[in-house]
Amino acid sequence: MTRVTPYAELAVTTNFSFLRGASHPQEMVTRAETLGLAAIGIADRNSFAGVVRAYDEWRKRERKELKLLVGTRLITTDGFEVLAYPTDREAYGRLCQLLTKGNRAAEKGECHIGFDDILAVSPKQQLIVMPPEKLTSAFAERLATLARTAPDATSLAGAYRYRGDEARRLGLLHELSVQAGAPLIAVNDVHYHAPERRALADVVTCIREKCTIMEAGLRLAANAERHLKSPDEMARLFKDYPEAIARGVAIANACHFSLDQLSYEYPDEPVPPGKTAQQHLEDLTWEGARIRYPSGIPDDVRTRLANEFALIAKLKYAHYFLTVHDVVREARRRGILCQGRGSAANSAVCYCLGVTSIDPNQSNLLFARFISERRNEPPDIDVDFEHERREEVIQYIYGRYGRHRAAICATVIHYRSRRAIREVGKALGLTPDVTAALAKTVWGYGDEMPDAHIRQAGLDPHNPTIRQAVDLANEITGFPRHLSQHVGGFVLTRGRLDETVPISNAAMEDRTVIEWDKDDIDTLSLMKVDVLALGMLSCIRRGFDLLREHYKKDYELATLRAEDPAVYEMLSRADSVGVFQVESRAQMSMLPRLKPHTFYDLVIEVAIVRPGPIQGDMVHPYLRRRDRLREFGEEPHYPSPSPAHGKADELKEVLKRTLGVPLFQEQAMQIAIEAAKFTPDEADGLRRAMATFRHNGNVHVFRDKFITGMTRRGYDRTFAENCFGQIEGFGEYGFPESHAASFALLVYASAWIKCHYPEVFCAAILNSQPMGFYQPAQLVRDARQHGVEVRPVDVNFSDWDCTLEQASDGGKYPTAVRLGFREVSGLREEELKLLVAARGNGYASIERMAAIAGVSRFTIERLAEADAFRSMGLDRRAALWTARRLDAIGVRRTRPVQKKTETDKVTVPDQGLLPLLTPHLDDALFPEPAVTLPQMPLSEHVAEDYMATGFSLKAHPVSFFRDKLARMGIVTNIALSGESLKNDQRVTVAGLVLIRQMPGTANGVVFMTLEDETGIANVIVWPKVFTRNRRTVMTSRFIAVRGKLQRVGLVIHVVAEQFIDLTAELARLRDDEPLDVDARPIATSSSATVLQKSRDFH
Amino acid sequence: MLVVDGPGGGRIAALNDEAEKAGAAIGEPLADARAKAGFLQVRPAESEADTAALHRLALWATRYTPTVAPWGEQDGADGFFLDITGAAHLFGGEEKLLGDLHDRLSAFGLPSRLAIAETPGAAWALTRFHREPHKIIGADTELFALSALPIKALRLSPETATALQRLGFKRVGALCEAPRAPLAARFETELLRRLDQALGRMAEPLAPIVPPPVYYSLRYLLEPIGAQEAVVSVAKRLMQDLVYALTRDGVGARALRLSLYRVNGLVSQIEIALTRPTRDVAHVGKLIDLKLERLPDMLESDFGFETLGLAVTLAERMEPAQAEIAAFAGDDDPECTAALIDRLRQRLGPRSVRRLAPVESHIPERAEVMTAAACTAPAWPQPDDTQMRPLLLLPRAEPADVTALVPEGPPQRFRWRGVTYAVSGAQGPERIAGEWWRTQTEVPTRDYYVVESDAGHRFWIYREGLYDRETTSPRWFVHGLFG
Repeated sequence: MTRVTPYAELAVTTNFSFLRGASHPQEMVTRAETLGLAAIGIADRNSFAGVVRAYDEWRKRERKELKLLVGTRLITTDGFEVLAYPTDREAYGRLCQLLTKGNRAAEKGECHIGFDDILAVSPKQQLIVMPPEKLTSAFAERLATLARTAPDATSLAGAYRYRGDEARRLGLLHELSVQAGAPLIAVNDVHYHAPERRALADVVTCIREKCTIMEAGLRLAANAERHLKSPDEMARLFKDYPEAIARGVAIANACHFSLDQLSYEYPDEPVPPGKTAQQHLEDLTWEGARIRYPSGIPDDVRTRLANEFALIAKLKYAHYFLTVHDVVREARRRGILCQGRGSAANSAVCYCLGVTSIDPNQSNLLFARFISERRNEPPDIDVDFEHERREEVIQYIYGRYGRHRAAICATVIHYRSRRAIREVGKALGLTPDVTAALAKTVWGYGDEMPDAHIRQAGLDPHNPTIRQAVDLANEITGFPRHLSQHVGGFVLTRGRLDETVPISNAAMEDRTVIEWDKDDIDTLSLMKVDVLALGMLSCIRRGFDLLREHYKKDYELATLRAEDPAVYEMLSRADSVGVFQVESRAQMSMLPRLKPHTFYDLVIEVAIVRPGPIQGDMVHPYLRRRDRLREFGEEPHYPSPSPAHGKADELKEVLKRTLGVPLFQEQAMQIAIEAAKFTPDEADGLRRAMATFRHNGNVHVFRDKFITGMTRRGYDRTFAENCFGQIEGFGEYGFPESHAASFALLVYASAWIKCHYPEVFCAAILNSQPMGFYQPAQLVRDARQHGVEVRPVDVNFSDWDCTLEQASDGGKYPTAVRLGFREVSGLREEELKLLVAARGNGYASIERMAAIAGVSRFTIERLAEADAFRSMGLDRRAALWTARRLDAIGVRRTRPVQKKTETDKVTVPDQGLLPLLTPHLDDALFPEPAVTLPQMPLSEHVAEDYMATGFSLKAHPVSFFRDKLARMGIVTNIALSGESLKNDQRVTVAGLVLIRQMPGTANGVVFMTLEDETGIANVIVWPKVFTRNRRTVMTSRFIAVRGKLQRVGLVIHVVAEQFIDLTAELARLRDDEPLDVDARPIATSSSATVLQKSRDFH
Repeated sequence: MLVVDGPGGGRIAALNDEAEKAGAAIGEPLADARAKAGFLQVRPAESEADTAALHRLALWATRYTPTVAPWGEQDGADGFFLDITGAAHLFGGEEKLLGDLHDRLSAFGLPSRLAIAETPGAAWALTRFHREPHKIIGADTELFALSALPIKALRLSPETATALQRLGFKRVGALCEAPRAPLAARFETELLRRLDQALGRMAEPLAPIVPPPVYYSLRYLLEPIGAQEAVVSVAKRLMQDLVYALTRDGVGARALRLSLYRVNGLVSQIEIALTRPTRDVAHVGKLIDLKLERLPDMLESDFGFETLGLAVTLAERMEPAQAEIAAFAGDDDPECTAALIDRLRQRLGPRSVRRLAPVESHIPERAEVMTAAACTAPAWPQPDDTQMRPLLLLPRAEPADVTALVPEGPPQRFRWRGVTYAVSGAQGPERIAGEWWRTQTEVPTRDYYVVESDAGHRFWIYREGLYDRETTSPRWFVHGLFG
């Protein structure tokens, strides 16, 4: 067949023109190829955000008959629209700079461009002017101006829109184009790849215009014609203007820019002049090695380093390592604790450079295992920094490389099913109740919504509107919604970054982001360093600081005593509250079973208790095998291929470390390569498919290949299927071994501090809140159970942070924890620091404190509520009574504090007493009639403590109900582990609900953690029981649970059968005398505010 | 339940008993309530509508006494004060009044808590916190009645109430016993002011919903009335009641307000302004008659009026020998169209006057709609001269037999209503796709052409269904005629 006319569609808007385009860039490319277009030009609104995806799709083609043009649709603030296609790299760079300038001058999500800007970038661009609906003379003038500025490179777009007047309009446009000297080009102003997407295009219009489809009216397009059309059809529509068809092809031929020309160069800052990067890296590494191994570098390490150097040299990674080193060195200089992880991190080089702290000699982690030579990808090192100080590192990077060369990656926020159904439902005019009910049925990410779910929500899946809403929501799921910033992925370049990709302001101050996300960066092989935040690093650094200050011990991550049996013994008891990663309920029940006693056990512990391995049912096989190996020395069995096909122990090599159970991402890939004979590229494809498997759903392609690959080579089919099932189970949660190893070190370090210095650990972790799984209440409680003396907040002793003080005589540890003002809610750090600074030998009275330290009455009242005046002999009630008078007697010296909260409006100009008077300030100066305040009962003190700090050192709230609970036959939580109760016995426990969890992996099982004055009880609620008791389970703060006691080793659960909601009882803490005349409860919230809320994870 | 928007999603503003049973609470985030209760019926709270409703109810309550003050935000904005000084005897005593008020409110479906006390503060406290839903306390018993109530009964700001709780003051009585100076030093003047107001040591002026008129008369009717003549006749009697007082004071009415209290709790008011003061009963009656004539909606009621009140809102000195007034003001109506519409509607029935209004739709027959005529003309969009629309759009598109050269091309000739037309020229197509969201089935796309027959007639004609993409046998219709 002879092709009549070649055609190039150059006006294509994808869904990266958010809420305008209704097809993915990939769909556009695929469809254009199917239709046999000569070229397709992707041009989104003032953006290059979608082009990399189009490019990634396009480069997969072996025969590149379709040409891909990368461009953008420049839209000026006054609405003039031009498609700009760069003809070479330099022209592309200028477009990026223009967009960067426009982005940075505007609010996030907008771009301010003027007509003059377009004129300025016009050289070497192909410009296609998109005419407005009304052809005004102003437009004609601009067209002519542009055509004069960019002669031969300006065209005027004509589209056949089926509005009834096409002949006339095209005639007019043609005339205009001749006058202006800008030839007519045929386009179809494509917004979706196929006409079937019209409904979705209408829906996104409604979402954008914030209206329903019924109200949208003329804002919708009249017909479904803005799809990609075949060359024949375009030729027919433009049969009077064949030169307009030819023009597109001519433009396509004139453009020589492709994204593969963005040749990437690493920044060369870290390399001193006169040295090569490799040389410099080797020098730095040897230097570091001498520090790491002061008694001489072991031969083993020397060999390792030599091997790694060779690999790094071969892959030209030296610059990358140096850049990471540069960032890490700066962090160290500032005393910021950090640790690297990622494929390249577990190398001897990184250890010597100080990027990681895991001695490769002990950990048995092989660098080469993580870096595949064949994978032509930049190495990957993520660096975690203390969460409170990461911003310093970020600003350092901006400072060192400049904002024109460094920026954070974007994260594309996709439509997920919930948001999709909510917004689509709204656009279709469904009520919020219905969309909420639909949205609620979706739990996962990007799951299709089956009819059963819809029925479950009480809706009819065959109702046409609901059907339409669900179908369209499924269709829009996975569409990009907007760009956000990546948590910490930095892109650094040697030349100007804004000539490679447009940069814009992030929502956060002082941050700039590029338009491309992580995958785009991968596609183009740009260099990225992940600068991440980790709360535990703050905690460990604080622990080290306290050890230095109070115990004169100097530790670092790398110098902690390795393989300390006491630490492993503690972890095996599941005594791990606060310890990094292994403190959750699931981890705690695993620890006694896994009984870690080497570092590698921790690596496995971190990796195994994750949704992937749990769903893939890998935990039990692993435990079984390990128990057998430990008890009987029985080696696990490793299946082999038939002898004709290879070595019998090919899988043993891969899986030996994990006893035949694939736990890590790398292992999954290695199995695919070794056993199923995937090419490295295919294995990499599998890895990516796994990461995005739920919204792409192309895993099954790999599945077939994987299973046939293995069975063909003589493996048992069931085994192959199991293997793949496990790999699939990883989903997006899969954990690479190198990450697990880096995390395991932090597990070890935090456990080590907790084990040997629980008082230090308690102070450090309290000062790093919020982080981790537990709230201060549980952390304090845990510390006290370990014999740590914890002292209350007091105006005369506390700092902002928790501190260590000399412990009382006979204490278990030499120091005691003094809680800091940070534990009291509602206080401001600056103000309290002033109070501490002016404290001297202490304050004798509130009046004196107010006069000297100039604290606001608001703050003094908060302190009184926290009962922080005990050292003055005042309880909270007496303190509050005194504090409230300060204004009236004019003692408080109010300084002009920055007003932040409205409660500060009591601030009045400085009207304090004369300084002369303050030292003599005394209660007796301001006599008043005595008022006897009623004594506050202990239970109310406890309730008030909870209000102010979230916990109480005085007593546990449940203890006040113990008599009553005992009469109800309720046992204490500690009794659950005692001898008197037998397994499977029915028991009733009661306590405050600390945590409610409904893990996605547990099929609707709810886990509750109850706390009473003796300890914790873990409750399991099966779905059936849950449905019956939904309200009580979900809302109670204080609850009694009756059920079966279940003990497996140290793990104790109560399997719930019945519940009693005791929440209302909590109100009694405040007042033993009920308000009998209160006829109708006007405010029912009093009991709700007695204690803090539980933490619920849905 | 009702929800207001807040930071991080909706918060519950009000809920019914069912929702409360399900565990939801006021002030809680909606998402939490949903997690607990499963399915909830949620509507946005309309605080303005609430205020308006309270206002209407307070207006209705002026049937008891002209001084009615709806509660502001600090009082909870869910009730009102009645100053019944000198009004209780009309109902046979305070208890009867309370009973009557309760019965009528119940009839509207409103549960109520009522109290009578010497001070607004005490009455408020009793309605909120006394265990009996109806409570009357005598003069000087406020202290006794209130001392057992919680301190919230004093209408304190939440901040003050919380601080008092913390200090251990839980009941009003405890505050009364404590020396005043330390309290004054520690709390804003609010505390002692509220205390004194409740106990009658300090006056609390009410802000009445309508300024109480100087001259006022009210009639409670045994049977509700609805007819215009009956209303006028009662109004005349009310005016007659006022004449004595007006004559006594040597004044006449410059402005009058007739309040019509409906059985269902709604109140209609008619304001009458006069150019000169008057005491003429017949004249006032005539004005009211005319006014009612022009306000037919006011009398459209299934319920009728059970109480009428007439107030002189503006009185002016009047010479005793005042001549009859000939002219009157108040009926100059600038909107002639509106008047015409009103008059036509009067004659032909309310639904008989209609006009066309534009609707935003690409589908021609949906682009306009007949609506009940309102006074203001709908705004029509500027006609788009690039898109041809016929002068006459047929009520229904009519099928036509069409011969076309190519399946996608314009018609060559067509037969419509028995006549065959040869097409001499055609413009188009204008492609309009169906509104997919209205039906389950595919709606075919239309290609509209403007065609001119050789006789010079111009038609708007369309082909239904895109050839190949949607159908293999498109059908043709004539949809409109140009001049």
